[in-house]
Amino acid sequence: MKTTINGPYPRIGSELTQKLREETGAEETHPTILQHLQNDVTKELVRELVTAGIDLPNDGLVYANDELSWPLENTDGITFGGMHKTLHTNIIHRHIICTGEIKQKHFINPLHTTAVTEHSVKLELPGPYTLACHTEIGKTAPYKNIEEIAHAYAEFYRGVLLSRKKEDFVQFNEPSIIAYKREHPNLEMLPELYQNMLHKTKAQTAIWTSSGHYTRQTIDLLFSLPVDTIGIDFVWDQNVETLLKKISTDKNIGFGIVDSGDTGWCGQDDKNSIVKTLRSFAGYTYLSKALVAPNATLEHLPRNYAQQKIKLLRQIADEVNK
Amino acid sequence: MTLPLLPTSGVGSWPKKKRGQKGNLDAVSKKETAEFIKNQEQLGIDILVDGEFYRGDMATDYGRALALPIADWTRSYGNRFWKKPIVDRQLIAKEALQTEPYIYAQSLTTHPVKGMLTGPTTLANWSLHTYYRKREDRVFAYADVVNFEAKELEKAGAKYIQIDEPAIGEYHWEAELFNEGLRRAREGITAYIITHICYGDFKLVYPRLKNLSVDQIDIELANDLDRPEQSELITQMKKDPLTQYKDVAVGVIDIRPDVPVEDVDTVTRRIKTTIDILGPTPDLLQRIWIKPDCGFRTHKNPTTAYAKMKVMMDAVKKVREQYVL
Repeated sequence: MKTTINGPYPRIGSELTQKLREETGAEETHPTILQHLQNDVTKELVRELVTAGIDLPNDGLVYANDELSWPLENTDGITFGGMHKTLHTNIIHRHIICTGEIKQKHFINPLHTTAVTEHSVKLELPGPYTLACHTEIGKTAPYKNIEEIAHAYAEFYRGVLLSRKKEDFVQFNEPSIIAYKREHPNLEMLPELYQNMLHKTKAQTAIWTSSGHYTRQTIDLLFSLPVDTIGIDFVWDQNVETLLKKISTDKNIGFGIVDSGDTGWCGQDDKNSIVKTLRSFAGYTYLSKALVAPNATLEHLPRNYAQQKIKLLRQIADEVNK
Repeated sequence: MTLPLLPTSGVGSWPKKKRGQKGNLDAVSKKETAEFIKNQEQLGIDILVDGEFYRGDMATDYGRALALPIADWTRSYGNRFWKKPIVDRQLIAKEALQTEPYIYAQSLTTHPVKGMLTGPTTLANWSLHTYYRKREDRVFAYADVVNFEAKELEKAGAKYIQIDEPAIGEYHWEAELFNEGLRRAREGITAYIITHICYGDFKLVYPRLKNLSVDQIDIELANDLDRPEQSELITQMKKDPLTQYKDVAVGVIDIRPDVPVEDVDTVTRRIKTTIDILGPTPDLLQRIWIKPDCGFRTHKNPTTAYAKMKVMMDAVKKVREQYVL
């Protein structure tokens, strides 16, 4: 079992991150200085994650304004409106408005972090379905419905994926598939969406879901998608264990089982209970290929709490791997 | 006090000089408050706000007043961070946080000044918790704290009390809990109660607003008013105008610092669109107030903030002349 984290990592709590914050908030920012600081903070975060025992780190998404809209920063056909809350939380994302054909102008290349850090990191992207659910289709957009725009995002991502090698790991975060008390329109588009997006691409892939509950139908749908790993939220849905043990799959499971604090609770996780749950999956999935993670971004917590969560992840994985 | 047609007000905060977040009314805050009160009077604003120069953060200050531990920084978006209080014990309010700033601001003017509070759901959601496990316990504990504050404000003479609930869009399915939290927060209060909401996917929450235990809903609308045919929220408002149930303060100024100062014609058009939607009859028209979308604390200096408020007032005066009841 390997450890990973999802979403942005707290970017404040060290002298370097404080400098980044000051530079970002300065009256006049200097792009080169900002870029250097972002690189340095990324190095620091990744080093912290790896030293603490995270097997598959991300790059902390230091460059991201928010977890949802960041890949569309320099994209034709997209403008940003006001600010919206992300699901049930007080984390905010920019309102995405499609005004024309979606075309990549300049995609922020997170894999620059491989040159920046000594460690390989996974590339984490908001999934095309979730992006489509959060996009307002403007009057001048050539897309008529959520399915068309989801496919446009998938095509946008193909350009990113085709350059990835088979050693690379690319994760699509798709909370909109199960987000609690939100609409989940046209879920039936997902198989074709992901097939088209991943056709002839080489990287290892994952889809990660969070902040909601699962049905048998959503589980079947998720495990039918052409990705290697399916990430599941065990914090929101403690009954998903029963559903998962009824399916037969050779896909890897991502266990989002440590509480990220997204509902405000920052009490201690029950490590023994978590280890027991994970071990119980031994007959159902290859635990050696599974991932264990917090159920959502650790940015709900201050950095010192996030550090404790990472330590816990390592302890859990070590116990399970014994 | 008789209010004119389309009464105007601010939402709360004004740009302040960079200093440590203190959460108390020090000499610098007092000076800035006095200047801001004067600016509002000069602009002709009807119900004033104190500018919140003393405020650190909406939840953090309450945490300090309640002697709660305060966590290190967490991020909301972009480069915006705040420090969440950690509710690690039963919440018991002993000393009011907001009464002193209200008393000071009101002493500077004969215009009514709003007493400003943070709502219980926002306080609950923007805290970390190790004591109250259930969400309703968190919200109700904070509701008692807010009620204590509201009573102190009323004792001090506040006729208008604003309870900010930007968290209304979070946990949007918990309509009853949210409503009950507000109801408890205002229990026993006879002052005019306003609830300010922002940063929300309002089409999800709009149907609930008419049932809230407040006299006025204060809502941001500037961007939607520029494209009313495309706005789902405006579509809902047309079908079921909120002014049938409550007074409604409509945001007609986009307060984001990277958005240039609007021209008078744009804001006039926004106000007229508001009237078309929410004030199609004289009795509903009288329930509309005009204000900026939100407070101005994200601005680095007050010049553009002042310019935006001036445009708003110029537009209001223009529209008032056209509607004589």
